[in-house]
Amino acid sequence: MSRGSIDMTVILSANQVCKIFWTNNGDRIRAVDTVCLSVMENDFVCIVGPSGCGKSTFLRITAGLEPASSGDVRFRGLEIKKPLPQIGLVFQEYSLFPWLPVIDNVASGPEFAGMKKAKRLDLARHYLDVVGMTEFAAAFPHELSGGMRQRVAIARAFANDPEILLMDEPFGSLDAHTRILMQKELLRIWETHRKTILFVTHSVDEAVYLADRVVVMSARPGKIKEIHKIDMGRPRSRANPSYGELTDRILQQLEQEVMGLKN
Amino acid sequence: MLSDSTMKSQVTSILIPVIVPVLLIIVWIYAALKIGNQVILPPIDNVLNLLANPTENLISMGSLASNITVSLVRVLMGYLLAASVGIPLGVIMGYYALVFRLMNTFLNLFRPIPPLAWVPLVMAWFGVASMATAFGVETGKLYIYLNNLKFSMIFIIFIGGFYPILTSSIHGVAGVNRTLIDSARVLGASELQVFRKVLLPAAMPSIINGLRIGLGISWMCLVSAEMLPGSISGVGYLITHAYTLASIDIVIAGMISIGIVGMTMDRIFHHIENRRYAWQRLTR
Repeated sequence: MSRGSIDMTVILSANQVCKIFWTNNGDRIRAVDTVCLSVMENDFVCIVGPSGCGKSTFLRITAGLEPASSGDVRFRGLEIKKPLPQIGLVFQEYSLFPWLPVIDNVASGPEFAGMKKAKRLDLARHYLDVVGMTEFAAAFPHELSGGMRQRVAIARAFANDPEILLMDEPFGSLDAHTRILMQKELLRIWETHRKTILFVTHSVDEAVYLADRVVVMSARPGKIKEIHKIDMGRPRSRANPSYGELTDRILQQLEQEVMGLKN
Repeated sequence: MLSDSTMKSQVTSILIPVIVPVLLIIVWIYAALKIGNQVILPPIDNVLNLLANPTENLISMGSLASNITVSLVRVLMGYLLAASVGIPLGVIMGYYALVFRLMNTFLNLFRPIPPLAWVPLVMAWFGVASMATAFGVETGKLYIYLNNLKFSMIFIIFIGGFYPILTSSIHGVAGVNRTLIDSARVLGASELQVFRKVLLPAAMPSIINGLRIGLGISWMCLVSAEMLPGSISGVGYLITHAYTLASIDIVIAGMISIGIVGMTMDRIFHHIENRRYAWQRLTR
């Protein structure tokens, strides 16, 4: 299934984003370095990079959880200064409220917004259905497997009906089999619900399997090294020669980064 | 039908905790017989008799039950005050590092001071002033009730309960997983909603634990509080006054009542902790 170039509205734009941290011993660490990125509506963008390259920090800035040291990230032209209801975020793990049953977890976004109980529970039930978790509505997070918890986390993000979904290594702690299953599920949901997704991962395979575009970041300070456009239709087969070729190329780029050989 | 082995394990699980108390009672009965002096160790049936008739009026001191009631009201007042200051302060200190730095040294300065060491200062401040003074009631039945609630006593009980509640609230909030707070904020929670819907429930098991310890210590401060001048009721008063009358059976009955009430309160808390916060034990 190919996505046409009909809607090319920029929904998210990062302009010269830098993030500097100060360590406890007073050292200055440049975590994100002049990142510029435009994300189109309904785009599925994956960011890959060596660990510690600032990709998660960039996502946190985009979510409005942290300010950029300089530069800005804009949502439809407006600078993001705090979390916006139009932008959702799915974490790697431990993000569900452990004292709430699954259904109340999913309904928590609408609850914060002041939606009536009956209405928000209906909404939560709908999204639990979307992720195939209806029968676990009354369960508590600790009763679920890792994959199930991430399904619930995705449903919770969707229940807020965001335009952009940020995902910070959402499948990073799952076993290989569950991970592949969840990737397929995510694509299925994405194709029916039409969201813009910005997805951070350290798995090149995951990025190539999912994304319209793969952003490769350099080692710290995290800069954008290259953006690969992927024209393969979905569902993608890992047996496809161009799939392997692209995966190889990105892996090589990352290897260079890790070895400290800048080009 | 229960199998033999489960029957056996049920019987032993009931039996084991009572072995030591029963031994103690046997030693008591024997020793009381041997000593034969009521002022040193009264026979157990005297004490049991007092405990079995808690509403009976004891010489010039009121009944056991009425004294326990007075004590309970005092403890609850001091304790509720400790909780209503300790929890909000602890939650705020746990969340805002700046407030923590501002208050922590100051509060830690007072932490090592035993509640009893406050007595002289508290007497100098409040003397025998009571809730009756505060409400301007000077006569009647209400006066008798309110006059039982001396500020000095409530303060001592407050000090006892305050620190465990404060500390556990700080630690409860400081230990809340950052991801939960971030998740709530991304989902659109306001600062107040983060407090009410995330920090409080996430820290609640720790806070409840502090409330439980705080109640225990408040209750322990009772005797020292009730030894303060102007005290003419309460279990603490009862046992100290009974001692001056050489009624050691009343002393022991009072002590046992203190123990039973304290243990019951602790059990209730434990029960709530287990029922409502099972998720915490089971998470990870």
